[in-house]
Amino acid sequence: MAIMTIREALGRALDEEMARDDRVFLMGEEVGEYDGAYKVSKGLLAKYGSERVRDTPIAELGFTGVGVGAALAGLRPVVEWMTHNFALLALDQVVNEAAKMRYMSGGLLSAPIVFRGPSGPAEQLGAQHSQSFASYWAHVPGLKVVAPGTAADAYGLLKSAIRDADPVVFLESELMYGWKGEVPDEETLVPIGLSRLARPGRDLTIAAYSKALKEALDAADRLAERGIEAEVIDLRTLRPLDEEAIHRSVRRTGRCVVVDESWPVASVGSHLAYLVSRECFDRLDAPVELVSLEDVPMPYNRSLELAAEPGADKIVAAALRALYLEPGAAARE
Amino acid sequence: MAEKLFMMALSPTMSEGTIARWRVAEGEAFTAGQLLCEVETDKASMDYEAPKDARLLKILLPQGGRAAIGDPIAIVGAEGENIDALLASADAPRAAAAPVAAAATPADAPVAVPAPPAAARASAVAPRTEDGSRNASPEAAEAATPNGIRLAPAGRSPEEPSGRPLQAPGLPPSSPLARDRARGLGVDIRGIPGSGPGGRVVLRDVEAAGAAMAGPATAGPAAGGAAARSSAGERAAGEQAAGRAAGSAPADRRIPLSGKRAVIARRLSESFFAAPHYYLKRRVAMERLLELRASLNRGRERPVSLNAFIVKLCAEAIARHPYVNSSWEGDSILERGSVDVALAVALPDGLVTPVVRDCGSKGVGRIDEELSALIDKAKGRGLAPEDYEGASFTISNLGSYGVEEFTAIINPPGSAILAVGAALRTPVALEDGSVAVRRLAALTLGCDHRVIDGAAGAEFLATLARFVEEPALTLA
Amino acid sequence: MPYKEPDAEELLGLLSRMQLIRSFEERAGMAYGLRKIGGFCHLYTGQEAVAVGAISTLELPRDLVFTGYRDHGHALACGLEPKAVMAELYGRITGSSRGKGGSMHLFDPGRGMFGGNGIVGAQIPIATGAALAQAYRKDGGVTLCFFGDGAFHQGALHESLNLAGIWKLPIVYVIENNQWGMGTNWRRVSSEDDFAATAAAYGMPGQACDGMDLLDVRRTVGLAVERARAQRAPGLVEARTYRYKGHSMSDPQKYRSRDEIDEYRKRDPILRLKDTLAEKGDLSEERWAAIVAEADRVVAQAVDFAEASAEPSPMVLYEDVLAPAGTGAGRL
Repeated sequence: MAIMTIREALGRALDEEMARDDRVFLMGEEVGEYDGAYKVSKGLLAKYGSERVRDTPIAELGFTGVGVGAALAGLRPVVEWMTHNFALLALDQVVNEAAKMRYMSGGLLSAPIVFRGPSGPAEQLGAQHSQSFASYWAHVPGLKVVAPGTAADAYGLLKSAIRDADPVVFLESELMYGWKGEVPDEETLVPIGLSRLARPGRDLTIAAYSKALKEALDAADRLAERGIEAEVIDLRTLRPLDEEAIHRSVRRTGRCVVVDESWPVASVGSHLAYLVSRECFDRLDAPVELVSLEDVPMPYNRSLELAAEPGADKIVAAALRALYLEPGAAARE
Repeated sequence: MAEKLFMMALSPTMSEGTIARWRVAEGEAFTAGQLLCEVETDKASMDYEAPKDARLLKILLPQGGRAAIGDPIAIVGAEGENIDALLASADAPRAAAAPVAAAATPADAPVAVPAPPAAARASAVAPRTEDGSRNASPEAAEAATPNGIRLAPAGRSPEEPSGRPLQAPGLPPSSPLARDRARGLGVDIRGIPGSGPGGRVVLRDVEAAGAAMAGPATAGPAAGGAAARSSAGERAAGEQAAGRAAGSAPADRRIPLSGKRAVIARRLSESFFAAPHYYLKRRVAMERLLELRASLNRGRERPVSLNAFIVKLCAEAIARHPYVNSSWEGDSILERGSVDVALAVALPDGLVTPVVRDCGSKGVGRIDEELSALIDKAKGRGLAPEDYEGASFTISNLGSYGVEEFTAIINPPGSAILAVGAALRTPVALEDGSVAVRRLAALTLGCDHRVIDGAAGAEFLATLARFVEEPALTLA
Repeated sequence: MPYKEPDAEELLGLLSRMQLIRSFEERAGMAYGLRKIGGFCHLYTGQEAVAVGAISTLELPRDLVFTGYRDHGHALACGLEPKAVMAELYGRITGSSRGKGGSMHLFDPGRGMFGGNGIVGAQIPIATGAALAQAYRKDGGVTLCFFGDGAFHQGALHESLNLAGIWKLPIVYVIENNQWGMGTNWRRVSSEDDFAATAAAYGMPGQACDGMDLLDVRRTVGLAVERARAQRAPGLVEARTYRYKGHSMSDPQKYRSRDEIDEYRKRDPILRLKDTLAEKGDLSEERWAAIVAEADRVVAQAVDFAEASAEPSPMVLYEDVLAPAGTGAGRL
C-alpha cells in the first residue's frame, strides 16, 4: 500500500494505461506542456510524446468531437475538460454522438472514450465554475458515469473507465485532488457499477459520492458521539447506480439520507431518494431525506458558498429528522 | 414496366386527397419532377410530382375523385404497354401496411398484463350476502352462500375501492415500518400515540407500546374495552372467513371500524398510556342522597336523575379542591376556572361524554335538563365537539348495570374520573360494634398522578364522600 | 496512390451507381408518401455525382466516410446493400442499423461508412477525430467528411478545420453546396460565400468543382485525397450541386421556383455523364436502358425485401445501449 493524493492516483492510472495499450492517448487544454491545469498529467508528455499527450486549443466542441471520432475509428482517447463547466459547449458530442452511436448503429459502432475533469463546487470560483454536472450525464442512457471519492477508487476506476468499451464520464473535483489515501501497490481495477461500504452502521443509511462523501463521514462521526451509528455508502458509480446495495442497507436501518452536491431538482440524489422510497417503502420508519446544494447559482462570498453546500451540519440535521430526534437530544439507546 | 401510382401523403397530416386537376392527359409522356396533378388536402392544394420519366397510361381516379393514402390513382409506364393485369388486380397497398412476415416470437413478447379479477368484470354490484358484506364477485357469492361462508370484502370492483384501506380515514399517520412492527408484536397501532410530526406513529412508539403491554395489567374492565383489539389489524380481507367450511365452529365476524369507535379507541389509549393512572376507593352511604332526590322530585314534572346530583356534588367538591379541575399541558398544568363535568353515557354505537359547563353555578335541575338535552342530541344527529370536548372531570356510573365497582379511564383533557357503582344493601359494622344494613355505593376515583398526588386525591375523595353521604354539607 | 482518370468501364460503373441512387431515392420518396417510412427522409436526388464521384477516389474500408443526414447516396456509394438500406428506412430488423437508426443513421464500418448524423455539422469534429486515428496509427488512410452549405457556419467546422491544420490530419472536407440550407439560400447567411476560399484561413488548400459533373468532382476530390494521403495534409473541396426535392419530405418548397429546379434538371449529372459516354461511343442506348432497368430491378427487390422483413421484437428496444457485458476491450 502507498499513500498518495487523488491527483497522483489519477496520474498513475493514466500512466499505467498508456503504457499498457498504445491506443490510449490524452487530449485537452494544458495537458501537455503545462503538465495539466491541475497537474494530473504531470510527466506524461515527457514520457509519451506529443502524439499521445495532445494540447488542444480552447475548442471544447471541436476536440471533444475529435475524441469521439478517434474512438469510433478504434483508438482509446481520454478527453480532459479543464472543468465540466466547459463541457456544456461539447454537450452534443457527448450526449447526441458518443452516447448514441452504438444504439443508432444497431451495435455496429463503439465509442470507447473517457471524458474526465473536475465537477462541482470548489472555493469561491463563482457561479459559472462551480456547478455539478452529475445529473446532466447520469440522465443519458448509453453513458457510464463514475465519481470516485478516494484515491484508491480514483486510481482503480480510471483504469476501468479507460478499458471500458462504452463512453465513460469521469467526475473529479478540484478540492479533492489533494486528498490522500491508501492505494494498492499492485495494479488494481475497481469495477464500474459497484458502490462501497465506507462505514458500517445500524441506525440509518447515508448515501453519498465525490466530495460529499467526506461530509457524510464527518456527519457520521458527529452522530456517533451521540450514540447514533450511521452506515455510509460511497456510490462511486452514478450510472449504473448500485441500487441494490443501498436498498439492502436501508431495509436494515429503516432510514436513509441521500447527499448530493448537485441542485436538488432532477439530480442523481433525488432519483436515488425516489428509488429508495419505492423499493424500501415497507421498511422505512421515516421519509427519505435529500441533502443537496441549495437551489441557487453559487455565490462568490465564502460564507454564502458554505451555506449553499451540503455540509456535515445539514447531513446531521437530516439524520436527526429521520430519527425523530430533536437537535441536541441524546440518542435513544 | 407499367405500374400503379398511389395517392401519397403530400403533407404530414394528410389522410386523404381529392384530385383537383390532372395536369397531364392520358397517353401523354412526362418527366421526373413534372407536375402530374393537383391534390386538394385538408390543409391546402398540393402538387403531386411525377416520380420518374414515364407515360400516363390510364387515369384511375378522375378529377374530383377522392382517395385515401395508398389508393391507386393512375397507371404509368412505357407507350403501348399492356395494363390489363394491373387494371384487373385489386391490390393496393394501404397506407399503413403492417409487415407481412411474422411478428415477434413468443419469447420476445412482453409479458401480458393479467386480466383483471372476476370482481372487476362484474357489471353490477355483487349481491349482498347474509351478513351484509359486499364486494364479492357474483361467482364467489354464489359459491359462498350454500356453504355457509360469510364473505369478507375481496378483490376490487369498479364501483368501490378495494377491501379496506390500510389506514381508515381519521386515523393518525404511521410509518410503514411502525405498522409492520405493530403487526409483528400483535399490537393494534390505532391505540398507540405517535411522537412523529403530525402525530405520526413511528417505530419507537410501537416498541414502547409493546414493552408497556408486556408489563402487568393495571386496567380494570372498563379500561380494557375499546383499545384492545389486539389481533393483527390489517390482515388481508377474507383470510379468516374464507377458510371455514360449513358444519364447523361458528365463523368470526369482522366489523369495520366506525369513525366513532376509532376515536374512542385512540383517545382512551392515548389517555391510558400517557397518564399514570392510580385509583382511590371509598364506599359511601347513599340513603341521604336518595331521600333528598326523592323529596326534590316529588314537586317536579320531570324527575331529576341521580347522575345530575352526583355531578353537582362533584362540582361542589371540586370547588373545595380546585387542583382536581386541572389539565396536564406538557410543560405546565392548567387549572381551570370553570367546572365542566362530563357524564359517560352509553349509546348503541358507542360511548359519548356530554359535558355540562360551569356546574358550579347551576342547580341539579338545570344540570339535569342540560344532560337530557345533550343525550337526546347524541341519540339524534350526534354531538358536536363543543358538546363533548374539554371536560375537566368525568363521571361514569355503571350502577344500573349491577356493577359493584370498577376503575375508569380518565377522559382527556381532565385529570380525574369518578367511577360510581351500584348502591347495594351492605352489612356494615357500626361504632358500637353492632351490624346494620346500609345502602353503599363504591366510588372509585381515578387520578392522573402527573397532576394529582395520592394525598391530594384522597383529600378530594374524602370531601366528595362526605358530600354524597350528607349533601347538606355543601351549603357550608 | 496517385490520382488516375477513370476508364470507360469504371465510368459505366459509376453511372450505374448514380442511377441506382436515383432510382432508390425515387422509391424511397414514394414509400414515404405511403407512410411506410416515417420521421425524416432527406433525398439525395440531383446530388448523385458528388457522393459517387468523391467516394470513388477512396480505398474503402481503409478510408473512411462521414456525412450528414442526407446520407442515402453516400451509403449506396460506399456499397451498402440497397436491401439493407431500404429495410432500415422501413424500420425493419433486417435494416443496416436493425431498425434502430432510420434514414439519418446508416452505418457500415466494414465498408468505411461511418454515417449519417442527425445534428448539423456534428459529423465534422468526429470525422476529424477519425482522421486523427488514421494519422496516429500511420495506416495511410484518409477520411472524407461531407457536409452541406448549412453546416458551414457551425462552430464545430471551424474548430475542426483548425485542429486538422495543427495536427496535420489526412482529411478532405467536402462541402456539398446544394445552395439551400432548408429554406435559406446560402448566400443570405454567408458573410463570405466563396467557401473554398475560406480554407486559406486555416492554412489549407480549398478547391471548388461542379457538383453536377461527376468527372470534375472525381478529379478535384481525388487530387485532394491523394495529397492528404501522401502529405498528411487536410484539404477542402466545395462541390456546387443542387437537390431537386425539398429539404426533406415535409418541405413544401415555397422558397424556390419550379423554374429554378427545371434549370438544374437540364444539367442533370446522370444524363450528363450518360451523354458524355454516349458521345464517345462507350454507351449505347440499349446499354443505358439496361442500366436503368437494372437499377429499377435492384431497387424493386429492395422494396420487396423491406416489405417482407420482420419488425424488431420488443426486446430490441433495450439492446445496444451499452456494450454486451464482458466486452472490455472494445470493438477493435
